[in-house]
Amino acid sequence: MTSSKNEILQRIRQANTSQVTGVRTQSTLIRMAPVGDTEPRMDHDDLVKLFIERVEDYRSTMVEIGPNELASAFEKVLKGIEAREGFDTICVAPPLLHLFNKTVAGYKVANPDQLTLTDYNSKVLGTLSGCAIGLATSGTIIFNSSDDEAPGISTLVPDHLFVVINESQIVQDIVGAITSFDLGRPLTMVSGPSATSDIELARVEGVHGPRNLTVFVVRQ
Amino acid sequence: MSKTSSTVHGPNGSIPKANTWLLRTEHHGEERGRTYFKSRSTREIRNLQMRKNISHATTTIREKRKKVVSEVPNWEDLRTRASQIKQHTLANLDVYLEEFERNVTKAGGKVHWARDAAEAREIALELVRESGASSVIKVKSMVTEEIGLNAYLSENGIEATETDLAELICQLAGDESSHILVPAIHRNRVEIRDIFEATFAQKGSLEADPPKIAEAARKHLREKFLRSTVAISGGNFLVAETGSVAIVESEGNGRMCLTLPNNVISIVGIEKVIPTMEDLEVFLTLLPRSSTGERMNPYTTIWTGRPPAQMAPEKETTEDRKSYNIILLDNGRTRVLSDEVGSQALACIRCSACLNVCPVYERVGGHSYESVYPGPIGAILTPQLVGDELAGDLAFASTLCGACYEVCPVKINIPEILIHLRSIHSDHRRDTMSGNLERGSFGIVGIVMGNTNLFNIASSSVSLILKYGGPLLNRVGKYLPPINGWVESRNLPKAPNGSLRDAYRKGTLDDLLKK
Ligand code: SF4
Repeated sequence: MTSSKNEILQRIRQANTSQVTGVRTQSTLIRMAPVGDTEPRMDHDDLVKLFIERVEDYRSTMVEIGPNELASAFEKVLKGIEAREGFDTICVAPPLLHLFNKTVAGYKVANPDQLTLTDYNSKVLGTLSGCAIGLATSGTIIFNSSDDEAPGISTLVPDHLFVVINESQIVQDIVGAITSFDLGRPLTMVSGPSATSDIELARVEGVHGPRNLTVFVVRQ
Repeated sequence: MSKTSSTVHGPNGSIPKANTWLLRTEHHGEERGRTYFKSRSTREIRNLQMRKNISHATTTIREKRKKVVSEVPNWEDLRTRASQIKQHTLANLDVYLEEFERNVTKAGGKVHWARDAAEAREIALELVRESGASSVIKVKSMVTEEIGLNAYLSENGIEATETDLAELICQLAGDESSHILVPAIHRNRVEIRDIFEATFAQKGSLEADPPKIAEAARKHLREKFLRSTVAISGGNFLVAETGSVAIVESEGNGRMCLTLPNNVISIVGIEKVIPTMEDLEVFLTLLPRSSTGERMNPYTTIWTGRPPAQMAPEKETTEDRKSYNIILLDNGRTRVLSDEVGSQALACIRCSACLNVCPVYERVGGHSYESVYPGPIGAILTPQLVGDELAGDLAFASTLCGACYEVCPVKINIPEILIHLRSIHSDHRRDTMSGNLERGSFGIVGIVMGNTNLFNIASSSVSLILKYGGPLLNRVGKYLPPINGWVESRNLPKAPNGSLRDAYRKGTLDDLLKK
């Protein structure tokens, strides 16, 4: 008995040889139409502006800060957030831990290594993490599970997600962006908070992932 | 253009019964008979609530789509490129699938091959059993619906929970989905509140308010996310060059399912493979804008061999190492591939843009198509997957206006395929009574139109019939074969005050036009 794999491959070959047109040949890949740019190429300053505008469009909060202002800006943002009973911890990605002295705005600062899934679900209010790159055209943040970032569940389970991005990490759009990654680690692309439009197409933020997304853009 | 029945069935034999799971006609119960678009849509069109909900949804998404598409100056180039990538991949599908398998295996995942729905269900059940779980959580997936996976798992003692909000609503209500992107769009907020209160929420505990309803779903499912050990997903794109899988979603339920449980099983149609990461970039520009009308969907997860772990990979112990299995499904796709015109349908990325612009879909709703795949894409895919005998009537569920072709991000020429499928359908009807009658009458029309005298006689008698018999025929025509097919859903036109040719001959053309 032939295996299912062989049978399916056999069916495909048979189907493709019965085609009469010559369109489907290996060479079509080479003659493909150029895709060009999704936006005219912009200078860096415009790019950063576009990124900020497009991230805000998803009803996210954008905070522009100077090189050494993350700790104070983060504290200010946290103070403005409604407290949630029992949620007394903020998860901070390891490379950013040195910015805080055990607490921030009254919340305990925790290293993701010390947190469990239950913690993320029942006491972590939000997570502060770096990211790999930002895409200006679509206002997207890409995580690639690197050491600069807090782990996957910490950016998914808690209610708030805070992301820090250097303006130098912002690129124009997705074309050419994801090909540059080492795919040994998963990529997660985030564009705004979790959302649904399943009920009468009314947009609701925060279904299963974070309800709120705050992005700190570090300007030089 | 004309194809014989063997082309519909392809070189690979007749359609196995298991395949008809994607039909959901209620007329034949378990037998899963054939589609009855005409009678079903006649009934659905009277459901005013459904029509209101659907037209609100389609109008809104249409506008959003238009806006974000107009922002992309090279949109047409991207569509062309996407269509070329798909055509090229389909022509070399065997090569790319094998490359994909090699790379997934290298990265630690396992690839399975399923010829049909039954085989895919069997493999999935076996994998769930191996994991020891008695329940699974699911990411929204059309393919699992196509193969009737949930019902099968439940027959075998495994409870499957849908985690996409709309899929959950459908599952709890026992509804069929009615739209590719927003499957519960036929329901309004009050109905959804009632469904939740009738199932997991306490009576009287919920307001009919979308944020409150979404919050209830969040709480209800959070528990399941945290406890489950097996997740089942579909897949939007498979990248051959790397062995990566991409899932595009909005709610975060996809990320939850992929990240939290240690066992992930994906079931994906063989046509979803694309050659390179560069190609993926093209599709990730086209899909969200065409689908939800957003520049990008909230979450896209791309992984290779193993889905994202809870912790950074180097901190994992062997126990929490994830296992990953992917089932590549044929289930009629190779048969579609063998049809030169129809195989374009395999390029579909399930964005649902064609549904949102379709004047027929907007009025008759998704349920009329009696298939997992509704709307224009359903009208070309369903008859090809299950065969003309079972769903050939769907090729007629269109006005051929071409709006679907214009918006399709992979440039599938839907009207062309519809016409092609119609010709297959009438070829099949060649030997039936009504088929003969139809061809016979068109033969007579041909003779009449080819002869001036006959044409004059015919046109004046038609005027007379319309004038004196029209109102009567409108009333009783639906009982008179063979004209009942036409008169059932249409009124005959009013008799004109004389024909153009008459007026021209008599020199009264001006008078006629003034009227
Ligand atoms: S046929 Fe085209 S427009 Fe319709 S769902 Fe598929 S990709 Fe989208």
